[in-house]
Amino acid sequence: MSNLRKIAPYLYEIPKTGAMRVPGRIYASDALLETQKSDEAVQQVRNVAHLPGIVDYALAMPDFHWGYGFPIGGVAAFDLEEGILSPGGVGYDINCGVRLVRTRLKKQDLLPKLRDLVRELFRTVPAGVGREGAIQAPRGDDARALVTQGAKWAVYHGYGTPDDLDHIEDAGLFPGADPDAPSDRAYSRGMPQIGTLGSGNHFLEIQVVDELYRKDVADRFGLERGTICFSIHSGSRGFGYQVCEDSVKTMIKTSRDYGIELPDRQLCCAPFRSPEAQRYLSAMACAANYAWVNRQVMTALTRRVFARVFAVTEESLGARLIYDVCHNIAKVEEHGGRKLCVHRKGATRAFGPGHPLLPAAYRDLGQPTFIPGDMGRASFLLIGKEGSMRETFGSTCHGAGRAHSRGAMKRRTQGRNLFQELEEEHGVLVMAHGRDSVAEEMPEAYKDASLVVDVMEQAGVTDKVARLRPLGCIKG
Amino acid sequence: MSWELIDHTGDLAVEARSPTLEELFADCGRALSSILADVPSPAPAGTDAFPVTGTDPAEELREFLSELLYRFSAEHRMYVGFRAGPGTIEADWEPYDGLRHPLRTELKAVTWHQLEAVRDGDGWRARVVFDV
Repeated sequence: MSNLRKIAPYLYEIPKTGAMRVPGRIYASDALLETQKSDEAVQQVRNVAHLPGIVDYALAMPDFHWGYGFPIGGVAAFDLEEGILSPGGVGYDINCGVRLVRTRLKKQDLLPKLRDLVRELFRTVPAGVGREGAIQAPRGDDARALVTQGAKWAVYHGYGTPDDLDHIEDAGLFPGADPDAPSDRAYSRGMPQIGTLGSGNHFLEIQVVDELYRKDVADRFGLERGTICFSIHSGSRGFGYQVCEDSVKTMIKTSRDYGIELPDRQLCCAPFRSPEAQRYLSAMACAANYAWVNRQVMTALTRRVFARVFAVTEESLGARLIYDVCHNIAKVEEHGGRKLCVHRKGATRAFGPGHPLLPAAYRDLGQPTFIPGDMGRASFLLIGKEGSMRETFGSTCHGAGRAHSRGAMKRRTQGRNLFQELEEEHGVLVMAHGRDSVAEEMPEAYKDASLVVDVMEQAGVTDKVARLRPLGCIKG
Repeated sequence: MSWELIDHTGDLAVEARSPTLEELFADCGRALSSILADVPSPAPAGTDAFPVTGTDPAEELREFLSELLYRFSAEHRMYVGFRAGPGTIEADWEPYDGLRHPLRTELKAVTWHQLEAVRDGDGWRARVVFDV
């Protein structure tokens, strides 16, 4: 890796050179950096450092890899007066995120009914392609209410409970959503897809807690070895993708109009206070709210399936949301006494203990965050530490990061019986809506998530609380 | 086949080479459809026409593919055949049916990354990256 200076066992710096306004910083171990096949992602960190108003460093988390403009796994904070807002710093899947729900079931309860459960979940939670929706598509004023109310809309319509709202980042509501900001196309793409998974790396996964690292914290979440959980990874579907596309088209022109020099067209942006940036922010807020409704509806559908398969009431199932986090978002937050616009693209908020934005039940602990690994190995529940505010604008990693391209995975898996492999070698029952989903998402496609989360622990940003192993998985 | 999938970290990229700009658009349209779903037995229900002006070939190609993706996503049109004519593409479609058209991969967007549609010798060459 060219021009990287190791400044700690877990941290590399890209020195400020040329037109870079700040240095770059990459959180990584030597082993993880060696898995970077080229300098492209590092160059992207360098490029982000060119943007006006960027504060302190252009950051990359240890699962970083190449993205559009901003790298995936990138974090960058901008001054509100001098800085910019960029749709590329959020991504197409606005508020792609993940949530972890724990149940009162134990592994021995689940295993005899696992196949039935996976089959029922596959039937009930669609990928959302074509006409297959999960619920009646909201229209007109109801659709506008959905994008302005966020997760509260879902609870009001019978999908979940008020307790869920206390366990979602920002209570599942991004303020400032203007329902007129997204285009008609965003609504026509997105509304029929409410309650659907989507494809690619989205999933609904059934897991068992198999290791505890911070039993004190795990106890507060009601987790012990053998606890059955489920997690949902999905985002704003066609609604968000369209908002991003519409905004990038505008901002490519806007960057030129405002005289912003870009090392890469996909870093297109506008000054934060400009009408164009504020319009994007309002539309992005709508998409973020859509994504929370989406995950909330899928959670409700999943609870109903569990209750049906295990012939229990939802109340006795005890499927309690631990937390829901965003991976792709831009937010105004206070850091070091300054109000900044923090872009997280494939990175997760992880505020430390005492932060006023945390729900009261967690304020003394720090913010939980869930890091999905691949569908064969492990995922991790983490807790934010004081170091996150000092080091990374309150951010941590979001996943494992890809090791092989989709094309390479299709070639590697030809002739293999993937579903059989997953069941016999990894002990995971998988059902997938898309034929190529499984091949592209096999465990070997990804780096080892444990290496990624260990870097953030070394950096004092997040601690591991629990490790969860997959037992069943629905792919889009 | 005058298009192929090429390796790209995390997403899908297509390269195409065709004798004319219109054929280039048609080949990229075929690539898009092929990535989305299998169509073993096409039975078109309608035809849409798309102009090809050549004013800004790369941007026009991206807009064309983006329009196909929008119509697939929002109007459930599975495009099953493409014909290139002077200054136009005709695209046959049928209503998307998950049983008739087994899903392969849903796409989020047609990106601007490494977007290219340029003359290449006597013909044309394109590269498009799709966000998965």
